[in-house]
Amino acid sequence: MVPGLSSFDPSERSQRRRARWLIYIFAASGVVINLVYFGIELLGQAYDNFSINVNAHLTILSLIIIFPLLAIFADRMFTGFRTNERSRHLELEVAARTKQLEDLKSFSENIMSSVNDIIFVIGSDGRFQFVSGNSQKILGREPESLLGRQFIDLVAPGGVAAAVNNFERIMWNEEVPSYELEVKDSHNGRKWLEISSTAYVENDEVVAQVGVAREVTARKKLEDHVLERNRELAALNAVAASVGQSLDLDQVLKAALDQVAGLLSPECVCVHLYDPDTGQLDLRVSKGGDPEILERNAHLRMGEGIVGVVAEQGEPMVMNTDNDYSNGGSTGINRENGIASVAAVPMKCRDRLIGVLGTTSSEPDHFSPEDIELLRVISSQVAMSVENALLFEDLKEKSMELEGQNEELAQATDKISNLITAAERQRSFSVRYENHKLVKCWEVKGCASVDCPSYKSRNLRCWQVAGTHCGGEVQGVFAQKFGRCEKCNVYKMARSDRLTGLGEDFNNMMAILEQKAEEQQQLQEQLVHSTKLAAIGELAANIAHEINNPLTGVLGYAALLLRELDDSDPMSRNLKVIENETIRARDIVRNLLDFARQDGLKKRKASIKEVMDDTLPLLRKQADLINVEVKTEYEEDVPQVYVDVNQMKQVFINILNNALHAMPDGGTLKIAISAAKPDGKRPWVEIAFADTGIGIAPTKLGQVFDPFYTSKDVGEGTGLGLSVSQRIIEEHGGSIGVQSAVGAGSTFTVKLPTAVISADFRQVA
Amino acid sequence: MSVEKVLVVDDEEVIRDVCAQILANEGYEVATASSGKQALHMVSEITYDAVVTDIMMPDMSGLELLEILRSTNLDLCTIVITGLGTFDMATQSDRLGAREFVVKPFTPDELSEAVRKALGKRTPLIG
Repeated sequence: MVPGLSSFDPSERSQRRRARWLIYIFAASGVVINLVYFGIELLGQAYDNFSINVNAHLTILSLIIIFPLLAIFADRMFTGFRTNERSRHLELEVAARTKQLEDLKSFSENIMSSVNDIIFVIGSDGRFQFVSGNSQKILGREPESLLGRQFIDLVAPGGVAAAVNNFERIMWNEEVPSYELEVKDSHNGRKWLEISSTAYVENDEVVAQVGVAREVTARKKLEDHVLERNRELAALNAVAASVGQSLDLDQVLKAALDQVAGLLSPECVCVHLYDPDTGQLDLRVSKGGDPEILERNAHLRMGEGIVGVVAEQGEPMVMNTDNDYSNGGSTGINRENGIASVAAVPMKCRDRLIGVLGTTSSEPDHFSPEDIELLRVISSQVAMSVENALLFEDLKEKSMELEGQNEELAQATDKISNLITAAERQRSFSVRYENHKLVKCWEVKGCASVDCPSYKSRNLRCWQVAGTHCGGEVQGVFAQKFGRCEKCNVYKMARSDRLTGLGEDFNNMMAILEQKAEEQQQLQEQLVHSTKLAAIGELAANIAHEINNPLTGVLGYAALLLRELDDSDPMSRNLKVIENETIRARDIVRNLLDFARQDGLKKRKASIKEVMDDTLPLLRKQADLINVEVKTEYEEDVPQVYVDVNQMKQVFINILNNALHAMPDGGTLKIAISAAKPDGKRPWVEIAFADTGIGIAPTKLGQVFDPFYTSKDVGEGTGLGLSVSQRIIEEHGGSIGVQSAVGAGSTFTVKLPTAVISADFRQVA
Repeated sequence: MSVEKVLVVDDEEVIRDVCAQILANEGYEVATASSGKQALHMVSEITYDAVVTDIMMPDMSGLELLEILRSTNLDLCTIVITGLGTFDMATQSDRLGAREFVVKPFTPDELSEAVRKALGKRTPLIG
């Protein structure tokens, strides 16, 4: 407990109260005794004549007076005693108070020394009047050594003005908030104190100031650090903002250099960019520095100089000329150049080297680890921006390229669109895209006209004419794809450009369309033709059937009349004509009926050799007449066929008749029967009729199976034989074809499926 | 040797007449009928050696006639004359016992040859 200035002793007060009570009792008892006595006297008087003893009364009265006097006296006596007591008591109290004060002093001293702050009093003359013991602890200075000293002596340079200003303000009795002050300690070190002081006023006059100084060095350092970090962050933000603002590479780099220069105040900052194509580091921008050195370091290989080493190792590097660095020469780092320290950091973006940020200083140890960290952060920022700028440059280039291509494409599309419109208007696919870009074959090969049939021909492209051998090189497949050049190397090369390719694709498409249109036209014509013929055929057959009866009459009567006449009779000749012409009409009608017939087939299994052997004798005589040799070549083991024998005979007769007709001056008719056993297909029997006749012109070759087509003179054929034959063969699931060369003869080939469909000779049901 | 009797059946008079003349020239005794019914009536009354019939006739076709004639035990040889000279028609006729098949229009020789051949194939009734 803190000793205090307490009041008097409470036991003394009760003593006094007791003494007073004694007096009052004493006085009261005197009065009571007197009254009792007076009472007795009154009673006695009554009984004894009421005579009063005056003496006794007087005594009693005196007693009545004396007792209070006595009481007053006693009280007085007691009070006197009490004063003596008080003076003694006061002495004791003074002693106690003195002790209390001493306690208080040591207590406050203890407090002063136990708090961490320095408590001080500075007089109006600026000298210390009091300093608490902590000055030893905080400043290493004894309080005694400070007393009487000017406080200014302690203030570190830079803080004096503020300290004096604050001192004066307090002396003017102004309120001064606590402030921080840097002071010197005994070892010439620096300490930061937070000082709060107030004026000490006596008689309305400020005579001194009392203050408390608390050490805040640690906090101050922390604050400074935070401030520094803030400054760095602000700088980084500025870098990021300035370098990120632009997509122009040089602008980005220049902004970065400015930031680095502002932050680290080096002599020179420069950026080398890495060129992946050459593998070199090329100086892109620089700020400050010796132009000669920069020129010498304009292009560096990986590992060359500090920039090269940093690029190679991918780690920041700091170097001072004090350190021995063997490559220093090439980087120009030596004292002669005035370069004392160098720092370089790699600029990387997504682990890819973009370049190196380098900086030099003439001061040794100019770059602290914090600086390097800063550089590293800046460089990664810059790297990203550089990457962006590079990408942007690339993009710009690509976009321009694309724009050009777009324009070309638009032109080409327009051209093609116009051509399509033209094709539509002209109803023809003959339009072509004029492909100026298509490099001609001879231009590529440097051919001379003798070597190239389409040399300098605008419309002919050599690969479309003779792509096989161009410049001695096989270019395509001639004749296989006439006019198509997919297999021609030169053509492929020439159209590798997409637009040229587009034009050529269009041309190819048009060529195909043209060809298809032609084919379609032909087909259409053919279809109309054959439909017309078929209708006529059917109609003719119907009519023909009805004609048979009247013809029978004509023929019969004519013949009968003829018999009755002599050959010499002139009528006989006319009747003969009637007979012959009727027979001709009959033949036409029969063929018509054959053609229009819709019978079902009577198929059975048969040997085609036997069918042929049964048919040939029918024509043997006719063949002999025109001197035609009939040869047969039958392969052995020809499988049986499933045919309508009579119809097959009719087919053979038709074909044989035609063959004989093709050889009016004789020749050879070769009949070959063979078997074909293709893999995976139903085997068939092939019957070939090869004559050495006049042949069929290529233009007529496609028409020989048309109904009513005939090469024979009027009256010699109906033109239905082959079309009937073709229908019969097709009804048997077979086919008939013809090959012919004018003057050399024709070969008709009939193919019929065999009766067995597999090697195990399974019978057809 | 007695004269062989031939009945010509056709709905067309011209055909009947021509055939009759041709066959008469060949020495046959020829009768004609204009329909199948008439022919059946005639063959039931007189014995004929051969019947030459058309196929496409109204009421009764030649094929029906052939069928009926075959069902009788008359020893008749039948010859078909038709304007529909299809293979199918020929086989049908054959199946119904026709000995010959002549396609209209025919020459007198063709008809007489057919009748001669048909009668020649006939198995003699006696002997």
